[in-house]
Amino acid sequence: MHAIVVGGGQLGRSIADRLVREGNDVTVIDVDSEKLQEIAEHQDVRTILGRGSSPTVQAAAGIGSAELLLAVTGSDEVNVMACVMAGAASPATLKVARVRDVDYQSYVQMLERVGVRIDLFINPERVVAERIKRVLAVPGASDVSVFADGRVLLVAYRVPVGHPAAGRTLADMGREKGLPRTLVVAVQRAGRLIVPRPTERLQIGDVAYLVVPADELKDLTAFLGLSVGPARRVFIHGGGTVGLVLARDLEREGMQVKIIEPDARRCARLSEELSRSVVLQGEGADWELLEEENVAGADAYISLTADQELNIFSSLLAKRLGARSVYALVDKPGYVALATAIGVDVPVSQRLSAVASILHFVRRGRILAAADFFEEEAEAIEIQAMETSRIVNRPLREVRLPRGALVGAIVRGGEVVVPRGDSVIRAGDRVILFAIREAVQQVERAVSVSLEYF
Amino acid sequence: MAIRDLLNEDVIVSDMTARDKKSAIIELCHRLSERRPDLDQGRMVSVLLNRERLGSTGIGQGIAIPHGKLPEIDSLVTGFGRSREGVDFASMDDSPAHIFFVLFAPAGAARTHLDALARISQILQDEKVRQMLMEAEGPGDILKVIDDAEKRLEVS
Repeated sequence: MHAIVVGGGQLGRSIADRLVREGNDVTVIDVDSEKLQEIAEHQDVRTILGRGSSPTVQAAAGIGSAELLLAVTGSDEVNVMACVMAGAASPATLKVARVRDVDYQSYVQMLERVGVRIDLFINPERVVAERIKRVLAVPGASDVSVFADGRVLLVAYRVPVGHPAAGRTLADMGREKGLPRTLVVAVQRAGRLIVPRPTERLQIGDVAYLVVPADELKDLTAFLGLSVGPARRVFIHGGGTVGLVLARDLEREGMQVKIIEPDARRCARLSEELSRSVVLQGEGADWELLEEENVAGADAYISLTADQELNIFSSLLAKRLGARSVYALVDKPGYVALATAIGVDVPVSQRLSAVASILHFVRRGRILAAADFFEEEAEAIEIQAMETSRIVNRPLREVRLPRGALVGAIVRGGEVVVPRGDSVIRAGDRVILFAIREAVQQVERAVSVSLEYF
Repeated sequence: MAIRDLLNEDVIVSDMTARDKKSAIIELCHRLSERRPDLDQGRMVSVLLNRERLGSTGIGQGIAIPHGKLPEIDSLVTGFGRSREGVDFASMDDSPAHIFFVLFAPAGAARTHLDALARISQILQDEKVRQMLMEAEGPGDILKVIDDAEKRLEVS
C-alpha cells in the first residue's frame, strides 16, 4: 500500500518507520529540507519538500494512488487542511489528522456539513492520558492493555528484589496451589523481549507480561502479594495539556490530585479549570516541596513535563521519598528502556502510544484490538477466528504458528479460556495472540480470511 | 449460473491504465458505474478497498478477484479488467495482477456469490485461458474466451 505522511517530526518519522517495516511504500512531506534530508538518510521513504496541504504537493506525492494519508504535523490547522485537500483530490484515501485541540468533535461536525470525512482524529495527549488511567487502576502494574471489550487484560509486572518468584521456573510456579488462571506471554529482560518456555527462570528486574481474565485480576494481585488498592492519592508534575486532561479525569473519578507546575500563569489557569485538585506552584525536582506535600503518601507520582530528563529525575526523586509508583513521560527513542532500567515504574510515551493507535486504525477490520509493548518489539493482537482460517477446530498443540507467536487467551461468548495444548479455537471465537515483531505479519496471514470472505 | 450471463462488453476494461491497487479499483468501479448509474462509484470503491484490507484478493498467477457486498443491489454485479502492464495488487505470490474479476453481491444472497466466485476461479485455473485472455483483441474477444472456457467446463 502507498501511504503519505505529512509532517516529518518524531511522530511522523515513527509511523513512517513502522509502515515501511510492514512492507508499505511511504512518502513523507515536510516544509523543512534539513529534516527531510535526515529522514532520507535513515529511512527507506520518498521525501517531498513542500506544504502538506497543497494540492500540487499532494499530487506530486501520488495522492491518487495513496490508500492512506496521515497528517501529523505540530499544527492542527495544517493537518485538517491536508486532509480536506486530500479528500477533494482522492475521496477513497483514508485520512488521519493529529489534532491537539481536545474539542476536535466540533471539527468533525463542521466538516461533515460540507461533505468532508476525516476517518480518524488522533489526539496523542488524550491517548497517553487513557493509558496512564488504565495502569493506575491495576496495583503494582507497569503496563496494562485491554482486550475483548474488557474481559481480558494483559498486565506487565516487574519482579522486584526479594520477590519469591525470582529464580523459579514458570513451569514450577504453574504447579503452585491457588495459582489464578494466567499465562506469561513475554518477559522483558535487559532491554530484550523473550517469548518464554516453561523452563525459563524469572530474574530480578524482569518485567513479565501476564494474560489474565479481568474478573480474576484480584486473585492474581493477591497471589503476587500486591494486596494494595488502586491509586487514590496522585501527584502530577507538569500542568500542560496531558497533565490537565489527566487531572480532570482523575478528580472526576474521585481521586485526590496534587498538580505541580512552575509557571504562575499556567497555575492560575489550572485552578480555574480544575475544581477539587490542589495546584502547587513550584518545581517537581524540589526535595523540600515534595516532602512538605507528603509525596511519601502518594500512590502515584506522574511526571509529564516537556523536559523528559527532568521527568525521569523528578520521578526517581519522588520514589526515593516514598511514592509507591512513579510514572515519567519519555518520548526519545531508547528512553523507555532506560527509564525502566533505572527504576521508573511506568514509562509512558506519547509518541509510541499515538503510533500504536494509528496502526491499529490502519489494520482495523483485520484485527479488533492491539497493544504494543516495549518500544514496539512485540505486539498483542485480538482477532476473530474465521471458519476458513487455519487456526480453528484443532488442538492448539497442532496449530502451527510462526516462531515467536503464541495464543494468550480465547474468548467464547462470556467465557475466557486461558489456553493449554489441548484447547481448541472455534470459528467466531475472539483470540488474543502475542507475537514478536518479526512474526506479526505471518500471524496475520495465518489467521487471515480466505478468498471467499465477502 | 454462467459467468458469461453476468458480463457484457460495456463492463470490460480491456486496457487498464492503473498501475496500483487503489487506482485499479477506481478504474474498474468507474466503468461499472457508467453502466449502472444507480450505483455510487465512491461506495463501490470503499467496499472493495475495505475488503482488500482484510487480505488481498490477488490470488496469484496474475489474477485478482476484488469482491464485496453491496446492500443496494438485488442480483450480482460483475466487471472485468485486463492490464497488460500489470498492477501491484499485494498478491499472495507477490507477482503483479493482470486479470481482474470484480464481483458485488447483494447483502442477503445465499450462496450464489460463492458459486460465482468458485466458477471464476475454476475458469482461470487453466493456464491457456489466462494466456488467451491476455492476447484477446478487445472486450468482444475477451467475452468469447470466457464463453468458450465455460462451455468446455460444462462439457467435461
